[in-house]
Amino acid sequence: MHRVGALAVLLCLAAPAGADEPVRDWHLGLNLRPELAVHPIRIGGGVELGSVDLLAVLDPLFWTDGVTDTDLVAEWWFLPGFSLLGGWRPTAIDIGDGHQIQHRLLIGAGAALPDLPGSFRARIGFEVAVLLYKHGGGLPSDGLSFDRSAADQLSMGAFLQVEYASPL
Amino acid sequence: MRRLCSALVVAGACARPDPLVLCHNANCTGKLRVHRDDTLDALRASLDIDVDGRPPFDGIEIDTVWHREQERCTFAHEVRDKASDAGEAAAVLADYLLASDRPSWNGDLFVLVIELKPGVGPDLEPHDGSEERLHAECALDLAATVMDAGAAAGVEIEVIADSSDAGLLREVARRARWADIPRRRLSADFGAPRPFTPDTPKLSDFAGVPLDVIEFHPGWLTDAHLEAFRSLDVDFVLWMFSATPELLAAIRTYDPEYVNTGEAELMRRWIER
Repeated sequence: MHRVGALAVLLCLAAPAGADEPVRDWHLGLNLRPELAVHPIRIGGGVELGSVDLLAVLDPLFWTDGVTDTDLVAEWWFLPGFSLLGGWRPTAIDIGDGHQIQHRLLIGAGAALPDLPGSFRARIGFEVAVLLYKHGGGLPSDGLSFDRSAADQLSMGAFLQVEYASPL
Repeated sequence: MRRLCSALVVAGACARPDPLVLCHNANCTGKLRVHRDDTLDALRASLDIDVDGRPPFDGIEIDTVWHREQERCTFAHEVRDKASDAGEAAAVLADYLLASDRPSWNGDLFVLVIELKPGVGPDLEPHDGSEERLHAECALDLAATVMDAGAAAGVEIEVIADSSDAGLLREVARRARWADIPRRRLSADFGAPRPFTPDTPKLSDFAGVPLDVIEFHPGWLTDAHLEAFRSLDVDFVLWMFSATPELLAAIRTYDPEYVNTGEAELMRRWIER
């Protein structure tokens, strides 16, 4: 709960960044996480086409525990400095002679932080991830539950993306 | 640990977790169908799982409920009129131990977790004194059946009496039959905090109970709770419904002695990958 509160404060402090003119750029940086849902450091990048940002986040820390999370996200900057996002997170869990693949729906919101020096910038976000389906590795396939076990299939996360951006 | 591993970008810097795997609610075939929890069908199906010629688990959790209206001890997750008697689950486990060449992954030890559920009615009514005694006797009957089979089969049995009700653990612990079990452990069980789970205890409820183990879901408790647990001289059971990346990361973070999961094969293969 305190993480949600801290995020709310950050959202209030967020200032519109570069929102006056249509933006077309590419960007690449670090996607940083405080919680256990995904690895704390991943690499995120994409292209911003006007008010829509298309992002991919890749996981270089798969070697630590055999878990790889990849995010494919579309982000809509509906107000200067504020966005809504939706996407898909396929997770691959190494089980020796195969992988179990878990598919999650991502929905959330983001905000730009005040511009950093040079061509660097930062944004924060909050997301809800819902596990929809899992399969593979010779294990039973299973979908979203509608009983008490669904508690583990819903998770919340926050992130800070610090990145370099350059016009297309 | 996961964060530390991430910081230590040095191959081999972090040891892999090696917990004992327990079959959650006697239903660990990988299909999360909680209506099958604590049923004889799910128990039998779980005992049939095979990974490389071995069962993926090191032990089984059997939930017991004292059914006030029917005045009997049931194998169930909550009060259910048609639930099997707890003794029937014990008989299935005994048959399994006697018939199996290798009843657990580790091959030496079989862990029997007996959870004593705190509610005796549909509205989670608590036990009265006589019901506490009867429920404790039921758990020890169950343990005795499985231990007798283990002795006949040459398998060492560890019995964990687990409950979120401190009174039930006290009732178990004060009985001579409990003290006679060579390998026994008392476990306090924590679910989601109140008001989400009304029967989740406070740690202070267990004052005076000689706890060996605390069982908890790492995603549902505050950091303060978890740090309090870490300050105690106890082992952890980490329980879960679904083996998600959060739960796998928590296994690395908290390094539990046991993992209680409904996906025993996934857990075993992830541990042994």
